[in-house]
Amino acid sequence: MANLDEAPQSRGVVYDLGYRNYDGPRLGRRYAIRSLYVLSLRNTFGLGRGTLPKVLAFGLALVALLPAIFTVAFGAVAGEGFEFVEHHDYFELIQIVIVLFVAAMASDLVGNDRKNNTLPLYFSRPIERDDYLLAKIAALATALMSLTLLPQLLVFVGNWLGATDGTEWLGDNISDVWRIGASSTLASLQLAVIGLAIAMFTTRRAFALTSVLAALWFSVVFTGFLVTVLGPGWAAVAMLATPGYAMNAATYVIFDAVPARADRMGEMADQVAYADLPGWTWIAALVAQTAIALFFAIRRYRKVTL
Amino acid sequence: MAVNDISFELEPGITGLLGPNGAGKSTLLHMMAGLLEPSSGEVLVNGESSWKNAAMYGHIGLVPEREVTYPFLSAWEYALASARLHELPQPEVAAQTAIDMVELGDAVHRKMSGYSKGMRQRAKIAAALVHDPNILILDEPFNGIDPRQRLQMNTMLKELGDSGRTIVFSSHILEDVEDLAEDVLVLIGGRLGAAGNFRQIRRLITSRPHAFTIRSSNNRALAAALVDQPHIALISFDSDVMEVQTTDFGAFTETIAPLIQSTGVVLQELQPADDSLESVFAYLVDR
Amino acid sequence: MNNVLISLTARQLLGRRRTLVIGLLLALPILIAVIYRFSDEAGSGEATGEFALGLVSVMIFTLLLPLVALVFGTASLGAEIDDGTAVFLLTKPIERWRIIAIKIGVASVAAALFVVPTTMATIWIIHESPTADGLMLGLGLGALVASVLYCAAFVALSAVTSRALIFGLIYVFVWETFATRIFDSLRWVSIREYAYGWSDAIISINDKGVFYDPHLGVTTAIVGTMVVLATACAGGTRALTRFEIGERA
Repeated sequence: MANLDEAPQSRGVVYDLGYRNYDGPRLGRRYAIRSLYVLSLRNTFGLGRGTLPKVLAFGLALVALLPAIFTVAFGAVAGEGFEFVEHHDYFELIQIVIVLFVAAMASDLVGNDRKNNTLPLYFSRPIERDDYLLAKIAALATALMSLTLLPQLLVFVGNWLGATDGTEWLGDNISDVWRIGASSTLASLQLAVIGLAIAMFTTRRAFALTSVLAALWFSVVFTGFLVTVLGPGWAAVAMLATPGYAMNAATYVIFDAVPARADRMGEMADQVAYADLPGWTWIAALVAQTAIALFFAIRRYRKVTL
Repeated sequence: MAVNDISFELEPGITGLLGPNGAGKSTLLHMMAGLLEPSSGEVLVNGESSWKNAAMYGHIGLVPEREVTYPFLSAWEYALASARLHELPQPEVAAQTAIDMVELGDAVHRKMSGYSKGMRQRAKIAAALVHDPNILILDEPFNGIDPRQRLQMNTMLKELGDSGRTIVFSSHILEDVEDLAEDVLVLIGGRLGAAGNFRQIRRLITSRPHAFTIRSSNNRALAAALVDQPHIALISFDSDVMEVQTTDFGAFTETIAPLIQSTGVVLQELQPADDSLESVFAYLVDR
Repeated sequence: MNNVLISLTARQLLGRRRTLVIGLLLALPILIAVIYRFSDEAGSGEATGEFALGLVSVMIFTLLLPLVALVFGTASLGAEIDDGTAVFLLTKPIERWRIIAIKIGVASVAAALFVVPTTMATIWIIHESPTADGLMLGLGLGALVASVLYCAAFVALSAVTSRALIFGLIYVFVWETFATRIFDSLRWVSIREYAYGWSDAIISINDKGVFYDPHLGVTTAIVGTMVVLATACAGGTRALTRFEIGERA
């Protein structure tokens, strides 16, 4: 029996089926999160996937850029002073495009992992549940920047190039750069978090798409009508609770462009003026909506079954 | 998975389609069932092309691996719907006959959303059998079913095969095929690795010993009993695990249970150590 | 056989969650109508007709109606393909055109059952004299036509691509809502315009407002309707005949 005790090591070789242990360096949690972020970002634009996702993502991004391209093109012809669309109006103009992008991508980003049961694969890596969420939010927000930040910068550059005195124009308008950065970042984060938080509650792409669309777009139309039949107080509450209103109003505030004319039957900007709230409330509303959605998203993913 | 350069004819009786995961078994079966278009070549079912030929489904039954059951239906309703979609003259009778074959017991009238994988598998088979097809295609029918159901399924498929139907089923488990199929097609990496009588092919590979790992309350006592068996080739120990090699798979599986019982040892785990078919296939391909 | 296909489709379409969500969404215009009716701002006479027209055209015709049709249209066939149950249907000796026709039919009926009453109820609540100018009946008919056409188009689309929903949404919101407003001639290819064409044959008010702005005569609308139906049936059947499993994971 004593001999048998020593036997295993010497005989182990016979049964070696070729499996080997990995003894290279382990890159750890941060690297894993970064990888998931990069993968998700690539997936958003259909890179590494088929033709259809690419067409979808780049097509929507292109539509979102069109007004900026018009501005630059006509601006070059018409010279200074021509404005097809202004910075503070931009998001409102292309809102449906952004929302469609969020709806499509959010449902893909979290839906596919659950539908294909890839979550156990991720969570058996050094990725915590919150990290997973963080990577997905960051990926979607980054992707959204190409629909928010990019066209705004294009408009800025276009206006600058169209200016008769470039240096003087730049001096006058340089503050727009941080406004553009701030408004795009806030809007992208808000939309990414809310979109993902909603998309997380179903594995069905159709349900996820519809729910995100309902929360981010129908709510705007509904609130638009609601405000026309409500007094300023309730109208303000309705608008503060609507993501689309908070996003656009915060953008007006950042660009210091809330119109003076208050008209509840008018355009969104007029309705915002009708609520007659201090500017910071709109930014606070946007941040609060983002935080609430983030809270639910985190809670959801701590409980999600694999 | 793409499949290449495959040419064969199926005869009445049971044919097993054997291959590791990703070898193209499903692709091949789906082509037979007219759900994929071969980019070159042709699949003929009863002499007719299977592609874009809806009428063909009157003669074949497909049991796909994927979930194709409506969660809100019971197995009975599912089989009945299948019979009605086939426009059978007596759908109730046909559905009842098919349902009786798969032995679902009391569950036939429960919603399929509450079924286990094995029960769903049988519901799918019933639905595929309602119109008494002369060709039955099953993709991984043994996935997710327990040993008792496996036995039932074996019996059922054998009966169907003996009655002159052509049955093709895929599996990546050698023993599934061994139990059932007269003829096998071995698919490796999208190519036909071997085809023909199973016993012949099997003989070529039985010279390879089978290995099992065993975990029990007393490995050494068990080992002492095992060494007496003529088919045991090698026993080795690794901390609390014991590895056993046998030259005769059948004899091993038959004798291991009574043997363990007679020694009074408590068995904790028994599993094949080299269920990797790739090595078997590699052997076949290199031949 | 037809009955089985119809009942399978209907049971799949009218799942509890889907019905509930759609019911809730469609309650919104009615809610606004009720608030309007009881608010101090409620106008009288023609003003109520204008508000009704604005609300129904913006909230229902450009938003909820296409969405409901999109959900039912893509669920009718697309969900079966996604879930794999399409294989169950496709491995039966049924002509493919029959499957498409039934899928379109069931989705249309489901969508119309939700949308047409909502449209008519909203107008009835807001409008002081809903029958006088043909608004209620006209838009009810428009909603019916739109339900059928959208469902036909989206059922066919889901036979072609697994991403029918998002492409349908893009068609509705980018093409029909924005592009047609910039380029008038695009209205010739717009389901909403065909539906409005039918409505306009009944509606007899002069001031139609910004959102309800029919450009096509009733003859054009009828021809357009036929073309959409024929294209959807033919295209859907063709795609289903060539259906390949697994290509759309």
